[in-house]
Amino acid sequence: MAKKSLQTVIPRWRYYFVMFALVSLPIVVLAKIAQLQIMPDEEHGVDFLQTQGDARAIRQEAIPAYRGLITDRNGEPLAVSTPVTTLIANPQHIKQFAKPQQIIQLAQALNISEAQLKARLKRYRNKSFMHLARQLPAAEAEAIISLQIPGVSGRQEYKRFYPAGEVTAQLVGFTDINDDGQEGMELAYNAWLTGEPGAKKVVKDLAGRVIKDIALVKPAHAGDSLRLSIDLRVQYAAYRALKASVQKHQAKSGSVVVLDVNTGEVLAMANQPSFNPNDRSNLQAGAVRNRAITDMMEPGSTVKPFTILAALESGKFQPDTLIDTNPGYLKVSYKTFVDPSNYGVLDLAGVLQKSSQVGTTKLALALNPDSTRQVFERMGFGEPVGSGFPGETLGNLPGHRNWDPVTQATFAFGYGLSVSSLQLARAYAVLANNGYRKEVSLVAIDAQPEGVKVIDAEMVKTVRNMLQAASSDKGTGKRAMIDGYSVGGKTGTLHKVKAGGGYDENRYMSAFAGLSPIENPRLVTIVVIDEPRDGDYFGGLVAAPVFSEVTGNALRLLQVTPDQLDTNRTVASLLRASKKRGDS
Amino acid sequence: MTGLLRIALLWIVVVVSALAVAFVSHLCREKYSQLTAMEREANQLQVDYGKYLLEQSAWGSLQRIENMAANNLQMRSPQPEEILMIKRQ
Repeated sequence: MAKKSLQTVIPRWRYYFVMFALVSLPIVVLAKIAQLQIMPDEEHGVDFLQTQGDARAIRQEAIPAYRGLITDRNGEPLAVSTPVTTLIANPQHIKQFAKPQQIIQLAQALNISEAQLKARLKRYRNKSFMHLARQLPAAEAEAIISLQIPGVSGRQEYKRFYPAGEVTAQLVGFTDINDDGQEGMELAYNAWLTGEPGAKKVVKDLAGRVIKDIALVKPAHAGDSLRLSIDLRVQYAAYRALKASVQKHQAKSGSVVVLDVNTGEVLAMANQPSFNPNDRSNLQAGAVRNRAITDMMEPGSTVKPFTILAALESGKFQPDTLIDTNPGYLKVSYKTFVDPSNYGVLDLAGVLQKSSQVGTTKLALALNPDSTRQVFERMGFGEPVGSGFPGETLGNLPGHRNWDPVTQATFAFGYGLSVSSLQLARAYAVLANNGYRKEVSLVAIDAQPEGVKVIDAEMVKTVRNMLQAASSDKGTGKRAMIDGYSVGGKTGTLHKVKAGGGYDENRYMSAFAGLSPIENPRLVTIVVIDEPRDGDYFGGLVAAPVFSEVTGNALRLLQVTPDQLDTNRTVASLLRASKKRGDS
Repeated sequence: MTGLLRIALLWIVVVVSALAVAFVSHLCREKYSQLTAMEREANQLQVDYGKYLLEQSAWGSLQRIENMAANNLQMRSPQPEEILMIKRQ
């Protein structure tokens, strides 16, 4: 029997079919891989998947910006930011990963009861962020973070400290817990002081702890620092004198403004009552107001120099024009103006020196009423001071179509209009600058501004000399005198307005407005003491001594050359006096 | 050059550039970690500066100096009668 060799021939098409199948399957797999890894696509592509992957681990963290420093004109710090740590938690992580004893540990570390902590976690259980404790010192926060409780981490924030404390509290203001300015210069210059927070990418683990920084998205920009115009030494002298006076006379409140005449910068602005900006737990509402800028008052006799200027400007009066104030009272329409005693015949300087109501009334009635108001307007009453301070008041300078004589008279001695201390300071600076009105600044400026000429220089010099007489031994302001320096200023004893209209017989405001020295004035100081209640209320008794202390200290601190030297004093006479006192 | 040589060259160049990418990203990470270390140092210095500033203001506060001068050193401001001012000729 013969074996036939079977030669099975595989049809070609079956070979190619299998080859094709075997090759195409990997290609399909490769194609899918390529689609996932390389091809961009909204729903399923590489960008989407990579983003999702990163989203599981990479987060963007904000880098807080350093808030700018606030300093006085000499660089003394008034507001400083220090880094503190805020503890934050992810309640969902805590729910998922924290063991019960860790929660007990956490409650202990935070000094709250376990029930309280559990209640807080329950309240935020559906959120992924909550604050645990805000603004802790770094060491304390480190201790809590090192407990390694899942979901709890620390975030750096900044807290403001105010080294000068109550002395500059109203002017500097304060920030809230989120480092935003709330009051004062912190608010007015908030945009300048706030830096720009940065951002960085970090990798976080499952418990929410930051493992490492990956990249800087943008760096944080620190805020710029702010140099205020005040001199802390002068401010301290003003605050100390004001506080002592308010306490001594049991006054409700008070304010002092010291203005540098040449540059218009505010060298001191102190207010009572004050508060501690570093611990605001017992804050009383009235303590936060910067009364020198925000409170209006009727200026009273302190505007009499400007009335005299109006009289001189009208041409109807000369410095030596005599005014008869006999018999010491004057009836105008329905009101009688009374002087404390009969001063007889006075010249213009005498009217200012004695602060005679009758004399001023006679001046005012002889003038065109609008001209008095116009002088007041040129001095800046009723016009914004432009300090940028929040809550700055414009005051009120009303105009009348028909002036009745009583209004005309009372306007001339400062009732019927309202101004702030700062506006009054600006007006007196015009007297100090020989008729030039300069703008007031709360921020240090390095150039000396020109100012706008608003009144004749010679008349202003005459009035300044009258002011010197008004605060001399024979004037109402004699307690304002400063040893070694010539002083000129006007007292004001103002009745306060009663609720329901009219003036209160028993409530007063004591004021003194003055400048020093007389020849080349350097400083203007305005002192206002509100409602002194211990019996003394005359401006000359209550406010003038504060002026003397504050301005005297300020002139000495600024090293202004004294212009009234006592030539009778010699070394020998000093030694004799000290021996008499018994000093060693 | 023959095709094979070209392909081999291309392959070498691709491998070298891949290695270069790895190396540069390594350098980048190194530099970034240096940056974070320096930033941490700068932050710490800022903290210290702030603390020193506050400390200086506390020690040198005008109230404190005045209290110490009056109470500890028994100093007082000279009265006007005790002051002699001399003009420079």
